[in-house]
Amino acid sequence: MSMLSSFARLSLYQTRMIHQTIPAASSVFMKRQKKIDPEVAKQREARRRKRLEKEIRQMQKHSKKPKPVDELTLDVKSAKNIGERRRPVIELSMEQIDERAIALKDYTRSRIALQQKDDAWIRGAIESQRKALVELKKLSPELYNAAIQPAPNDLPLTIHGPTLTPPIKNYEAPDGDYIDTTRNWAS
Amino acid sequence: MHQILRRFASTTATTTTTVSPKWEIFASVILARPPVVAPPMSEVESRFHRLQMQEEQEKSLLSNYELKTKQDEKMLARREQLLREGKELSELDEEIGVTNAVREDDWKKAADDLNAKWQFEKYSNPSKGAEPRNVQRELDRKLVLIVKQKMGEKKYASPWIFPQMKNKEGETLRQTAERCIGELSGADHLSAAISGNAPLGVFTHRYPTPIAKKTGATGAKIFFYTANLSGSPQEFHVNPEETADFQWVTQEEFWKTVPGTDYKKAARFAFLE
Repeated sequence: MSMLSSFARLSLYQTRMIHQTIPAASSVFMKRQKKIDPEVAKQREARRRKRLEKEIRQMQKHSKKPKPVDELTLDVKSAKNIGERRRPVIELSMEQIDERAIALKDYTRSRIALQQKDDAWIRGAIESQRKALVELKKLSPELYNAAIQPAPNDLPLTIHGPTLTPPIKNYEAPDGDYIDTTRNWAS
Repeated sequence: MHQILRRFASTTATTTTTVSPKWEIFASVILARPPVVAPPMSEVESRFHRLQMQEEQEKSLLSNYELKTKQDEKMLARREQLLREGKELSELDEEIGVTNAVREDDWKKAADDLNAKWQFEKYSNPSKGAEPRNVQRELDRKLVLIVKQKMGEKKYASPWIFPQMKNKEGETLRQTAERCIGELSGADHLSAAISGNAPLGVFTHRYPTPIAKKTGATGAKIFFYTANLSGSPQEFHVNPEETADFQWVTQEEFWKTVPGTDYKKAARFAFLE
């Protein structure tokens, strides 16, 4: 058995050795390859590589550019006389520093209190709703089933306001066009 | 052992009573008018705001307008000086042009004109202390509607409650709540958006014996739904056939006006400001 298989391998090896050349390469219809100097070929290759590298660099430079934050960048016109724009440095007294620190702490505490109130309200409201649904389930399974359905028409919910001042009665807005000057960064 | 028996007896007793009671199902709408204007800043907030603005101002660079003001001051000083020396001023006047002080005067005048025309001060909170039927009162607060309902009888008026309606056969609770809003406003078109299909809370009301005998029910289970008035209506009317009286109240007024602590507690989650 092993003899046979090794024989087969041997014969295959030999057939491969016989067919060395690809027939198409030596066809009469093929255009003859020009022989080029290996030095020139190397140069050409290097040039092509350089060009591609440059292109890639250019593409990378333009592709990953974040859009500028206008609020953080100084425009060229204002940057010219930036020296004139500096305000005189103000030395704060200890009392002023303390006042600011205390105001910040007080404000932070008030925000925490507000958040806790909101949180308590949300938990309470969910619990209250759960109780109501339990009651409803006991009373009437059909109404319960209707009540637990999602209400897709209620969403998305858009709320306008509150504003700083109330709307003025009978106010007629002056005529004009609305021109959106926001720059487009999509492309 | 005796105790266990007694407890067992008591549970059986309660189960027998809970099987028999019949409850009428009501949907009640807590109709709210959201705040129209933002409430004034608290003391802590306004102090923090003032100091933050101050700090920001200190850290900022001078704007073009401020530079112009500085330039104006310099020019005016030079003009004064030349005037004292008795020299020609005409070319300097051109250089000065319109000073910022002049512009500010113009702006102030324009602002005064606008204020005289529209009276912003007067309208900033027009109905402070207005009567409770006015939907435009207490603009910086959330208001809810409470009514005295007639419940289908001519001479009867309920105590102050949220508008409510009995659930009909084959109707979901939300539909009942919508019908409640519809009948509340009567012929007038009232646009209000109910939020969600699920009720926010429930209140169990046991009928006194005569009513219980008449209706054949132990009491009512009232399920609360919340709704917001859409838009900002200037006027609000109710259907006089359904409602004897109505009020728009803040949270504190609600606790003062409406009777029944349990009722108020059941609906307390409708208030968030």
